[in-house]
This record gives sequence, structure tokens and C-alpha cells, in this order.
Amino acid sequence: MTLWPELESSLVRSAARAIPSNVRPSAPRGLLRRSRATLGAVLVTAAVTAVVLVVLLIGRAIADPLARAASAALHQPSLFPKDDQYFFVRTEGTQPTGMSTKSGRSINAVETLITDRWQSADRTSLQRTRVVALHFASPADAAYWRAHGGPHLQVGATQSMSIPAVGKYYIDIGRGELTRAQVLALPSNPRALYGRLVPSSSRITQLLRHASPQDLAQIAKLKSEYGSLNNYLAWAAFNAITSSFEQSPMPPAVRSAMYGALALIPGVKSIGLDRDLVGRRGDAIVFTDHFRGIRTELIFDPDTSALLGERQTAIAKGVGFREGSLIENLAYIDEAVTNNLSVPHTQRLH
Amino acid sequence: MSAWEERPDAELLAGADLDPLAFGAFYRRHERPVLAFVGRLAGNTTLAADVLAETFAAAFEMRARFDPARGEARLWLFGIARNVLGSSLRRGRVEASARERLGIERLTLSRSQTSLFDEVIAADGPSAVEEWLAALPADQREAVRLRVLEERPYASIAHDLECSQATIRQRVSRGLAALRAQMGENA
Repeated sequence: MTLWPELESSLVRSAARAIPSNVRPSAPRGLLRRSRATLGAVLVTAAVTAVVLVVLLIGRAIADPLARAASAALHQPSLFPKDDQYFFVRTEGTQPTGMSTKSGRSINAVETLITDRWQSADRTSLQRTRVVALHFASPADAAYWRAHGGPHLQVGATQSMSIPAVGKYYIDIGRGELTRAQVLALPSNPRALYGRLVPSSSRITQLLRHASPQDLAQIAKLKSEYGSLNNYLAWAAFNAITSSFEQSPMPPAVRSAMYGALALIPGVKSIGLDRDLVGRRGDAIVFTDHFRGIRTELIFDPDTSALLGERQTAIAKGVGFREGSLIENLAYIDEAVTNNLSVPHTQRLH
Repeated sequence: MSAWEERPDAELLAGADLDPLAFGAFYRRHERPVLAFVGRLAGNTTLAADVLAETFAAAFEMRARFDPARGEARLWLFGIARNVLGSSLRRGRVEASARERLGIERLTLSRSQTSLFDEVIAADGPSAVEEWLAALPADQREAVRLRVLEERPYASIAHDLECSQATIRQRVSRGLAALRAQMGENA
């Protein structure tokens, strides 16, 4: 018996809508992505992976921007920290926020956040987020805020979160956390890399042979939610690979292979040049998740392969945002290897 | 009731990736202790309800981070709740970003629900906090309770426990550090 059934219902409804967001939570994401799959989840992944392997075997041409990025990545210096060093990333992003008045009326706004993240295998990782600006979502929201006396907006507030060291990097590329040695040992061939990220077809067959009725029911449920297992797999593969770009130290050859693997995902399209949140131009690709109603755009520096920006847009109702609204707009400002929790100014991504 | 009711917390959180009812079961299991914990710290039922909602929304978003090897789900939730409350106090409004990202509307309590919440906080609040503190050695537990929960001055605590203020400060500091480490977060 619950004390607050309305909240339970809301949570369950949200869980139903946002089931995929465990793999792709909103920014800043780096420290939040560790996944632990149950047998059921492994079976589901295995099953859908079987489908994608077939798709990969069919193959298709690598989009030009990704081919350029893959080539450029090979010539970039390796940003791979030792286990007692930090991989530092600074991002600037906007996201919807809100506040409520005493009467319960909601005032919608968009806040701009700068997030610094120091990730280490052997030392405590830290993520620090500062609200640097806040804009009301509409003139009506601003007017309502003024009508209620214009309460202080807390711009400048800082939040910190630390994560104890676990000896691994929070790299979610299909199999959860990896040690430095495991990351360094990832294949440099895109198709081989895919093969490392997903179970082999013989393993899938073996798992499915022993799948319980409940696991099979979960597979059927996924199929119905995504329209097909192919759709689910494309989405899962896109998220796994792009999350590695966003937050993870990788050797150049592996990073290059990630671009190649990304180009193999059905539905990834080049849209030419675009600008990120802070105005930098780069090659843009998009992936549209029609079933969840979210369009994700990634913008890469064509010269260095670096991920400059990421933009998620709601393209349908039902994801908790108004249709056409920006869910998130994120720019990667800087990245570096550091020996302590200091902010370097390398301008590497400029 | 769902088929998830008897499953361990880690399975409920992992299962939420596939079946939303798993998270419903997780909420039902921990709603009351988390409310009691938050209510005891917040000292305000309306605020406690808001923090409760945000805590479970944040827990849903962070479910992949839960590691049963590092502590029970209840302590993990206490850590999230404490962070939400601290963040809300710093920002001057109840943190709602997780709910907004998940598209959860702002809910209000009916009069009868408010009374029910009051009863739970009054009845279970102290024990929920005791549970939170239970992981600490006795000397640190007492120091944290007196300083953080009862907000007594160091001098007064030192007098009652017959030791120096420096010792009390050290116990509080170590106790809070241990709790933060256990909860996997820093306030």
C-alpha cells in the first residue's frame, strides 16, 4: 500500500516512457552511465544484437563526415590518463528547468550550466556544475516571475558530486566499465570493434536456448516498444558509441574505429555543416529515434574529429517536452589530462 | 502487487529498464522510510513531499549507478534525498530537474495525505535517521547526531561527552566523510 499513489503512478508512467534513458541520461552524463545488466537484460541485448550483426554484414557506405573524422582521429595525440591521473572535460549546456510559486504554478525557464568533470580510475572522480545564466521560457513566464516579486534565481550556484574510485573508467560501450588495459586493447577495426561490444552470434544462440519465458517476454516487449528489434538495436548502438565520444579517454586508433562503427548504424545521416551551442562550425550527423520522439545531432570538428556539440530535440509529444523544444544543447569546451582537480586551459577544442 | 514485489532492490532497478512496474515496486518498498528520513531533516511536510518525489525521480535516472556491494538501496536513497534537499536549500527552491526531464508533473498532497505524511514522519522519522547513522562507530554516530541533527554547539557536545571540542570536530568530520563515502556522493 502506497502513501502517495499519484506519485507512484507518475513514476511508473515516466519509467514506461523513459525506459531507454538509462543508457542515455541527460547531461552531464559522464559519471552516471555505469550499467549493470541482469541476465534478462543481457539476453535482450544479445537477441537484438543478433539482428544488428546481420545488418552490419550487409553493410553500407561510411558517411563522408564520419570517414573524415575517423581519419582525423588517427592523427590526434592520445589523451589517455594514467590510472592516478584525471581525464578532465568541461561542457557548457542548456537545459529546461523550472520553479513553482507558493500557489503551485509552474514557471518554466532554461538554465545554462558549465560542468567540469575530472574522471579517474584510481582516485575519487568529481563533477562540478555551475548555473551561469537563466532565461525564462516565454514572456508569460517572465511576467509571472515578476508578478511574484522576482525571487532570487540562484544563478551562480554550484553543485558538486564525487564518485569513489573503482579502478575503472565509466565507459559504457555495451559492456559497462572497462579498465585502462581493456580500453587500450579494444580493436581498431570498426567491425571488429562492434564484435567486441556485443556478444557473438553463437553466444546469443546459447543464451536464447536457455532464456526463461520471462526473458522472452521482455524481448517481445522491447520489440513492440521500438517497432522492431532492428530499431532498438540501432538506438542502443548509437547511444553506446556516442557516449564513448562524450566522456571517455580513448587511444586514437580506437577512437577512429568508433567513428567507423558509428557510420555502420542504420539511420545515422549526415546533414552537412552546423554550429554548436557556442557557435563553432562542424560536420553534423543526426540519428532520429522515431519511437521515443527524440532527434539527436552530433557536431564534429572536421580537422580534429573532436565532438564539439550535441543537441537533442523533442520531435513528438510524449517525451516530457513540448514538440520541437530543445531537450538539451551541449558544447564540449575543453578536455585535458590533469594530475589534480584543477581546471586547465588548453583550449584543445577551440 | 506485481511479480516484482519479492525481488531484491538491484533486480528492481535493473528490471526498470524493461518493465516500469519494477520501479513501482521499488518506490512502494522505500517510500515510507525515505519520507520519514526526509521529513525528519526537512522539518516541513510539504517540502518533504516535494523532496521525496524528486528523490525517486533522480533515483530512476541514476538507477544504473546503484551498486548493492556498496550499501543498501535505502542508504543510497537517503544519500540522494540528502543531496536533493541540500541542493534545494542552496538554490532556494525545491530541485525538480529530474522530474522535469522525466516529464513528471508537480503533485500536491490532499489534506488527508498531508495528515498521513505527518503521522509517518512523526512515527518513523527518528528511526529512519538512526538507520542512516547505524553504519557509523558509536562515538562518531553520537557526535554526528548531536551536531548535525540537533544542531548543538561543539562546546556543548564536548561538555556532555567529556572530551575536547577538537575531538568532537574530528568525530563529526570523520562520521560525515564515512557517510558520504558510503552514499557515493559529496554534499
